[in-house]
Amino acid sequence: MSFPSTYESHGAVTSVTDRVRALGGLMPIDGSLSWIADGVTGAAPLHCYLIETGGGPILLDSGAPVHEALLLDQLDEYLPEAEELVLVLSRIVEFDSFGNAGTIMDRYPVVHVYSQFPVGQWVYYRHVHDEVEREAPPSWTSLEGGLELSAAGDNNVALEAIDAPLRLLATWWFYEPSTRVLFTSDSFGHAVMTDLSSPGCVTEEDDDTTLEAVREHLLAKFDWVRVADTAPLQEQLRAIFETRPIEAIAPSYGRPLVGASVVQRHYEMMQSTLEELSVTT
Amino acid sequence: MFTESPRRLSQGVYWITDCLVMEHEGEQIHAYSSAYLVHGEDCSLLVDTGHPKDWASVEGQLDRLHAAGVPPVKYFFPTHAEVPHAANLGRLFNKYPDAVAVGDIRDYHLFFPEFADRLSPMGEGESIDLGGTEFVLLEAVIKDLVTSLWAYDRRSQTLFPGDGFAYMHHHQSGECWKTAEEVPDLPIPAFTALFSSYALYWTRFTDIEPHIAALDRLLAQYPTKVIAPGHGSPVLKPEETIPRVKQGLRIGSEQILDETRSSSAA
Repeated sequence: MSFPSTYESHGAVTSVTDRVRALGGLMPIDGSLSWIADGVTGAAPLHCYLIETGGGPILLDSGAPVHEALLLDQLDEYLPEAEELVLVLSRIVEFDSFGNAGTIMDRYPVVHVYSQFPVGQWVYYRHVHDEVEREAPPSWTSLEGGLELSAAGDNNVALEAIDAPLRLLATWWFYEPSTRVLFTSDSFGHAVMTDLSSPGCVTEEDDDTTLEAVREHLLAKFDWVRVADTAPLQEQLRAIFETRPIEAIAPSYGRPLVGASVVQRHYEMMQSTLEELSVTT
Repeated sequence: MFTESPRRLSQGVYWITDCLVMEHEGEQIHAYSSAYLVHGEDCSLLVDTGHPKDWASVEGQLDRLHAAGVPPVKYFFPTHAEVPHAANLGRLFNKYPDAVAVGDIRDYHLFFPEFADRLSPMGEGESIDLGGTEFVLLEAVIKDLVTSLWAYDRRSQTLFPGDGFAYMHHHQSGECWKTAEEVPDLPIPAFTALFSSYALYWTRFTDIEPHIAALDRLLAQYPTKVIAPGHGSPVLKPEETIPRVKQGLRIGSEQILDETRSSSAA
């Protein structure tokens, strides 16, 4: 067995680019994760992303509470001390996206939040949240497609919000133009860790992802694709990938996919899978 | 915030709810984030948990029910792991220390790790004896997450469809806390279509008819007198309201498909 029994506490920190660091931890693939296809083994990384900009840090998503202590340690280590933090939530209706947001807002100087719905009404959901007295939540902006997001310290565009073409619930993807990273939330999460020696990111040197793995993951997570006319989805994906230079894909689940050739390969596998599965309505 | 006692819908079935305010085309509309308490002679079960912003309201409504003699909650059944349906689960675990959560509980250990030992997996067709009635888990024929399940209470013949039968209501005209049939002007088809456009993304790309056929099969197998949805007004006259919901699903699917194809072609 390649994993120790306590590997939930094993961190999954890895650099995606020189400005983007994946934070989070691993979870065993043992039948308890709904987005993992049958037959897959190993461990699933759950990530949020710390983005350094000239205007200060941005945290994209907040990880799941099972990794709360791990994540707070990581933020203590990597977050520039006393810098005002902007929090961005890709899926405020799902716990793996915003699960630690309340705790992070209570502990760090979060000055602004971007999310689908008002942050103060949605993220305080755990019984431990009721033990904390707090003042007004940070300022908030509702996400919409094309919205340009900035860090706290300047008005430069740090992220562009993209209406997610592949999704279950209200979901946003983001493009980081400085180091050309596409954050895909709960999509493109098909690359798991087969053992603890697996590199944090998938690169050209070790990319052994198969078309079958992409297909099985897509159907495990987005089962409606099985009965969908996917032509509009393919077109939306094309519009995203073929109008922006993309050198890394950073998903919430699974290993980040790093390198332009890796991005192109996984994009083509996704398009091929969608085309193969498509039904005419 | 609702301060009244929960509304009784049928024998042993109570509606616990509050409203989420939304803006649509300049108009203020509401959607419920409802939970339902189902009790037998021995214990109670809670379907969904209410929205996190409504916890004080939900807890107050539960306390008023218990004060009136409703037995303690022994089971929680979140229909799926989305905020309006499951967010208060940790607070409920804390309030009812002997209760367990049942259903497709994959992923919940990530969100409520301190209560991971109180998650009990149950699937379609499995049931719980509440004492004098049986609570049965069913396939979710209209859903968003892969872990979604519906349920049915045999004694009251109540269907709990989670995100199915989802439609908003108006606030200004005093439609809050009324059943679907108590609001004759409630535009159920239009609001069902609108809700689909917001929350059931897959309907943009799929044929809705197989899902409506699956609903018909389910209703034939489980005779239904009450429908208790997560977001829509409860249905006490299914023969009147089900056709309007189906109409809304069809309108929404056609509108969305047309829009999606048009924007794709453009």
